[in-house]
Amino acid sequence: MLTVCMKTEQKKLKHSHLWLVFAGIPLLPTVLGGGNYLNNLEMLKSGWYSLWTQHSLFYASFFYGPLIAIYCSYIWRVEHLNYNWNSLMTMPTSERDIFLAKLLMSLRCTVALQLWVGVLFILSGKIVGLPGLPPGEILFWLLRGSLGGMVTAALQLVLSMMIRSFAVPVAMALLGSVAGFLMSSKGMGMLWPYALMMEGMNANKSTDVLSNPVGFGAAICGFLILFTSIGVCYLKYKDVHA
Amino acid sequence: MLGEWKTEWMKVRRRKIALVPAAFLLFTFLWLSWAVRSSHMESEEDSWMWLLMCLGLVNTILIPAMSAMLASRLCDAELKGNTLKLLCTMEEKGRLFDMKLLTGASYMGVYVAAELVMMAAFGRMHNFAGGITLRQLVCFLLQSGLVSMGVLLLQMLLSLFSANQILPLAVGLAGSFLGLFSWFIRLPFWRAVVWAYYNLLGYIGQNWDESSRIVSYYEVPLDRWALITLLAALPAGYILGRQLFIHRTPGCG
Repeated sequence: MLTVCMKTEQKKLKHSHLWLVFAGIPLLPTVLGGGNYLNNLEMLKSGWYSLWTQHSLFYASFFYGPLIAIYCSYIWRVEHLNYNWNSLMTMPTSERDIFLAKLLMSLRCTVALQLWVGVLFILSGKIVGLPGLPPGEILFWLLRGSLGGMVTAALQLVLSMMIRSFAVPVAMALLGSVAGFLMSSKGMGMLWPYALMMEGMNANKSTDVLSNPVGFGAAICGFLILFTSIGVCYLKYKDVHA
Repeated sequence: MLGEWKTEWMKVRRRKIALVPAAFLLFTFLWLSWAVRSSHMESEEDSWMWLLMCLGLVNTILIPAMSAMLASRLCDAELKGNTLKLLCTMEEKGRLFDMKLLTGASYMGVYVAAELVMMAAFGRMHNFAGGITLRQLVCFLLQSGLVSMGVLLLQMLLSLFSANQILPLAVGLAGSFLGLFSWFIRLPFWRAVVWAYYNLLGYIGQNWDESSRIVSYYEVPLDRWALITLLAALPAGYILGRQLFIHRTPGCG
């Protein structure tokens, strides 16, 4: 049933032009991060690692979260329109499958987005004249960031389900991401769901500062289970307002 | 006209739209409170200039996204219910556009005024020496008020013309991004980007001493060309947007 639900979710996304947003917005940090790197070559001496600091700083701190939020808002948008909540809740599927299907779709989006950012990172590195390919470590940071993105996706799915507006959850993601940036700089990133993606991506750092991978994994699992449970319970026990 | 103005406010009743700017304002306050602890100013007299500069940067990041949310929420009533066609049989199209814009501008005006009050409270809380000069006040209103109106106008148009609110929100986010980068990279291209005017209309400069890590602030003359461009672009954008709305109202054939 979960597969059927995922296929249905996929159909809802048809002709949404979401891919344009996801393809377009990461181009900005790529171009501007590359430009900033070229402008500060006398200070940035660590090659691919230095480019990574420029590339990831603003992307991870301000825009990865809202991008995931746009996706999550969109996949709940159809339910908030007309009387679709009634239709959804009378379908012969469990609430768990409905929520998990949306969650898995958003997880796919977070990974795809990171892969695209990775492609852009390599391209920008080549354009600014860096030799060879980026170290595997950076690509690992990218994928590790998508684990943090999964937590954001789970939280945003809950918010977008509860709040009937398309825009408000996106605003909350932006504010949450900025707060995450501040908490991360104070060493409290593990306690804030929006900070986990920048911790995972090692944003604006040229050496891996994630000294406690077990803590990071525990935070990811804990938040993921928490938000998924809240989402499923909300669907199960809260009466819908069509 | 008064009836139409009242109608707009009836549409937003109980929609808690004011919560969006209120949340952004609270967040701005918390951000500044965090930033003031790690600031290293040369003298106490610099504190107000630090605050004005910081607020300019924070506004560059937050206001474009907030404008996108605000415009989207204000246009929700027509878009979700698909009622533009019905409305246009009862209300003059141009007037509808004016009232929508005016409602958004009211929220934005109150937001900028609230920022001023917040600044005064912030300065008092942290015992800042002196106060804001008249020049700084006028420059702040130009930077935060005028540019935000331009950003809001653009977002309003995008929201009115998009049944799917992804585009306006994506543009708002991209605007935050571009505006932020305009503070770090100098390019002539920024003059064509409305979000970059938060930086172009900057009126405070800074010197950072790398060895002592102390920053000193000083006033810089306002970029008159940027101001003239913005003052010309705002009415032109309004007239163009209004005409576009009148002749191509979505859902009105």
